[in-house]
Formats: sequence, C-alpha cells, structure tokens
Amino acid sequence: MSEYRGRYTFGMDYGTSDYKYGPITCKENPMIIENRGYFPDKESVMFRAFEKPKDVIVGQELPLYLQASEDLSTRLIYPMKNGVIEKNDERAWQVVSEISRYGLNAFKPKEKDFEGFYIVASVSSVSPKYMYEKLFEIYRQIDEEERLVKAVTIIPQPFAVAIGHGITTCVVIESGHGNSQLCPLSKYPIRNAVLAIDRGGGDANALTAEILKDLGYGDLAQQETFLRKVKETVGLIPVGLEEAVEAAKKNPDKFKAKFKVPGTRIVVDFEENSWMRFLIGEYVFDPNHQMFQSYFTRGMRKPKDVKIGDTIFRGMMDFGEAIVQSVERCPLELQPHLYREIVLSGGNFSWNVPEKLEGISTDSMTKIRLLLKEKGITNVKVTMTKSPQLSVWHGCIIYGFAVPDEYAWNWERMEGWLKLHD
Amino acid sequence: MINLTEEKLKSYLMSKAMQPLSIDESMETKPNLSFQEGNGYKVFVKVPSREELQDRNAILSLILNSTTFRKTADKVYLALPKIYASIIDGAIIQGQGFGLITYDEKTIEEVIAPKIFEHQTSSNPQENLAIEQLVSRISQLEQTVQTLKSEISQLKSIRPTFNDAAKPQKIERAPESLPSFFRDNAWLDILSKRGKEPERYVS
Repeated sequence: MSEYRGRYTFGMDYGTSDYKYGPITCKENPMIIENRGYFPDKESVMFRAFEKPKDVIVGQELPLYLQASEDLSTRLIYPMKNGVIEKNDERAWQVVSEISRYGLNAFKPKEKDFEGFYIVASVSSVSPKYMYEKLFEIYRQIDEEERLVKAVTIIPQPFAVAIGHGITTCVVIESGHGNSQLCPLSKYPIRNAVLAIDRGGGDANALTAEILKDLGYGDLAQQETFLRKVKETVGLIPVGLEEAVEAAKKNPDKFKAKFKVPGTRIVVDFEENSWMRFLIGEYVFDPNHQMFQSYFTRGMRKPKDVKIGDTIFRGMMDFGEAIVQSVERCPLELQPHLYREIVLSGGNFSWNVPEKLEGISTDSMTKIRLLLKEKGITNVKVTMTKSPQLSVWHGCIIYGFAVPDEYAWNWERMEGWLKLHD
Repeated sequence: MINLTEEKLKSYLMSKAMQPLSIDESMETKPNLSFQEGNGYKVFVKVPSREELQDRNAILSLILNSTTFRKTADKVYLALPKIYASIIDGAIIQGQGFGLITYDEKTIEEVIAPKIFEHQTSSNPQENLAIEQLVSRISQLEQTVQTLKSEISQLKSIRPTFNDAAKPQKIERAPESLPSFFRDNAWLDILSKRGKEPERYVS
C-alpha cells in the first residue's frame, strides 16, 4: 500500500487566495492557481458565438474569459476569502467543486493499476463541521462520475504546516490575506485551543491606503495590488512603536521611504512623514495603539469580534495576547513546550528589515518574542516555516503517505481516511 | 496592454510554483518580473513592449542588454509575442543561456528552457575566509561521521540477536525517491502509528 500511496497521494491546499494541488510525484513543488472561479455572462453575444456555455471557469485560462470590470465583484468569486464558506453559498461551493475537479483531472494517471487518489485536503482551522461534510460530498460526486478518489481526508492548515515543518509540539500561527489562525499541537491539533483573528494582510493594505490618502495619493489608493506593493516596499515592523516614530521624526532622512510605481513616472514619497511606515507593520501585530485611533475615527474599518459560521474571529487582539490565550487553553504541563516552538507561516509575516535600521525596525519572529515578553513569557523560540507558501501542501503529502490505510475517518477526532470505493 | 501581458505571464509562472519577488529599484537595467523558485533560484523575466520590438536589431539589442541580469539572477527568460519569436534565431537566445517564453492572446508557452547561471564567488576577503573556515569545519565533520560509521558497524557485528517476536514494530520510512521534505521528518513515525496507540490531547 505504501508503494501505491508513494505514487497516488494527492495534496490540496485551499488557501484564501491560492489553491495548491498535485500528487506526491510533483516532488517539492505543487501546481498553483488562484482559488477563484468566474461565472460568465452566458447571455453575452460573444460568449454564445464562440464558446460552449460553461457555468463556472477556473484555472489558468480564467483571465481570458473576464468581461466588464464592473461585473467582477459579482461574477468573480474567491470562495475561501475568509476561510469559511457559508453553508448555503451555492456559488462558492460550485467554485470549490470545479477547482477540485480541475486539480485532479490535471494529474489523471493512465496507469492500469490506478484505483483513485488518496486525497489529503487542507482547510482553515476555523472551518466548521458542515464544510467538511460538503467537501466530502464534492469528492464523492467526483468519484462517482470519474473514479478519481479512492479515499479522502481533511486536515486543518496549521496542522499541515507543523507536519511540513517537521515539528510535533508547537503553536502554529498562519496569517494570510483575510485573517489569521492560531493552533497549538502536540501530535494532534488541540482543537478547543484554536483561535481566529479577523486581521490579515488585507488590513495592513487598508491602513496603507489611509496613509497614502493623507500623503496626497488618494487617487492611487484604490487598487489592492498597488497597496500591497507599497506595503511590502515601505512598511516596517517597529521594535517599539513610540520610540521608532520619535527617531524617524527626528531624523527623516535616515528613514526616508520612496516607492516608484513600476512602468510609470509616479513616485510615492513619504518625505517628512516617513515615520508612518512603522504604523503599517505595527498594525498587523497590535492595532491597539492610540496612533491608530484617528484612522478609525475617520472611517477606516476597525477590526471587530465577528462571528463567521460558528467561529468568533477576534478583532483587536494583539498576536502576543492571542498566543497566551490559546496556549492557556492547553494542559498546564504542555504550555512551556508550546511557547518554546512557535511557528509562523503565511505571507503576512514577510517584512523587510533595512540593515541601517536594525534595532529600530525588526522581523516578525522578534516582534512576536517582544509581545510575549511584555506579558512575562520569556522562554520562547519563534521560527518561520521553511517554505511559507508550500508548507501546507508538503504537510498534506506527508500525512497522506504515512497514515495507515485502516485508520478510518472519525467525526469525534476529525481525522482518518474516508474510503469512497474499494 | 503590457501590464495585462505581465499579469498573464505572472499567473503562468506562479502556476509553476514560482513565487513573485519585488524588483530591486536600484538596478540600472530592470527585469519586468522577478520570481523565486522552490529550490531558491532567482528568476528574471524581460517582457519587451511592442515599441521595443520594432526590428530584428532591436531584439538583438534586447538580448545584449539582458546579459546584465546574469550577474544577479540564476535563470533569465525573455518573453516575446509568438509572431516575433518566429522571426529570430532561437540559437542566439539559447547560446546566451536564456529561456524563451512565447505568448499570444490565448496561449503562453515555454519554448526554450533557461540554463542556470553560476555566479562568481565573492571577491571580499572576509567572505572568502568565512567560506574556507566552513569548508574546513565540514571536512572535520565528514571525518567524524566516518569514524562513527566504522564504530557503528563494529558494534553491529558484535550485537546479540533477538527472536522475531521481540523485534520492534517496523516503522514506515521514506524511500529514496520521495520528496526531500520527507527526510528526517519526525511526523512520519507518529502518523504511521495512528490508530495503533492511545490518542492524547484530542478535543
């Protein structure tokens, strides 16, 4: 059986913006497409004249089908944009079904011994039980129609990160575009200690937009891709916000921040307001400082505690407090071990630290250590995953290869194989 | 128009598991796109605009200008519209070690795979010294491993034999052909025992 799964284990990582998929034979790198689907206007004359009508389009060809930009908000669906799909959101489920089918068909083997893939799918740790049920239903339908799935299991993304990273007792913090999730593990995910935060890279982009408006670049502050680039180029994490702002105000030349818009003559120059670059990094880790208040007052969305599905996403909780709250829900004797292995994963933890600003600006790992130190937790080790974008898929592949065939799916422990056919 | 092309090329290369990198604004000649492959290789893509592609000489000049990328990138692609790609001699691009991607409105295709550029070692004496020190430490480690190997094989030859019943249960190990992230991964043992031992900390 190991030999069979050594060829036909299939990993699927349903990320908030990307879908990574492929069998174990992809070795290190799976295929990646955007986790989205487009519902074309089937009444369009062009569409009817040239194409066979299709309900939803996914994959690399999708950009070729895009129609008027004003339609995009209703026709272009990112099903996992906040990690949870509402039970009755039919369009989102249709995209998930199509994208799963697309991934499997891309690697459909011709070998005679092929009896279906062993699929390990990975979803957000805050995904409610009905999402697991819906996904199983989708795989069952694909298997009935195309005989592509022999067995399937679903694991939470932080669990897959820990497996891909090779650490068996740790706290994983996965911070993506839409939100962040914390999950302690000790050989198993500790599900009642999972904590979700309604803050991700998108919120830092929103703050960047407000800052650009204040600097007179309001016309540019509309496009998400542009905001992300400014944030990545200019944004810094301060060791201490007040000290960093004071230092930058005293010596703006040392902290100057400029961003040239590629392919244009436009240069965004922060000039004497270069201290604002520290606000962008701080906001991701801790949005509670008084300095952010004026942005909320002027209408920027203040992160709130929100209920999505059955999960409460915390809005303003800083990452240090979130780790402490999550770890304190675990057995007492385990807690010191968890603090000693904190693993960061996801694009929201990648920040520049200019050499000349070391000591004033810092990286994500140090920032987390400092936030925990403020709470009296000192014996801490924080690491980044080796390949932030792919570690979930790596974890899926290892899980699918190693877990015994006879370990059947169980709704109590939410693990094991669900066999779809013999 | 050029941005739409770049977006399509970006999606295409991301589907090959490349991660986009920001472009160093201080570079004199800049690529249009920059990526990192899973194995750490830095990949530059030059996408000339229609204005830059007015005649064959313009393409040759583009190739010459792109040679500067070899200093910083491990692989370099030129991306040309299919119609232009057909009028140039691919051997020139291949000879420089560049890859070629062609595109039209519907398709994007890698026509020539790029070579990997080997970068010169640092001329900084401090870095060279550090490298020499590392090399010497590695050779010391290799010697230690050899010594340990021979000691283990001696111990194996004198170990007592047990009957089969007393042997520990066989643990699934990663065969050589599996991906590198399987190597020394502690989860392989743990996961292979799922369902065979009591479960802890499950809620």
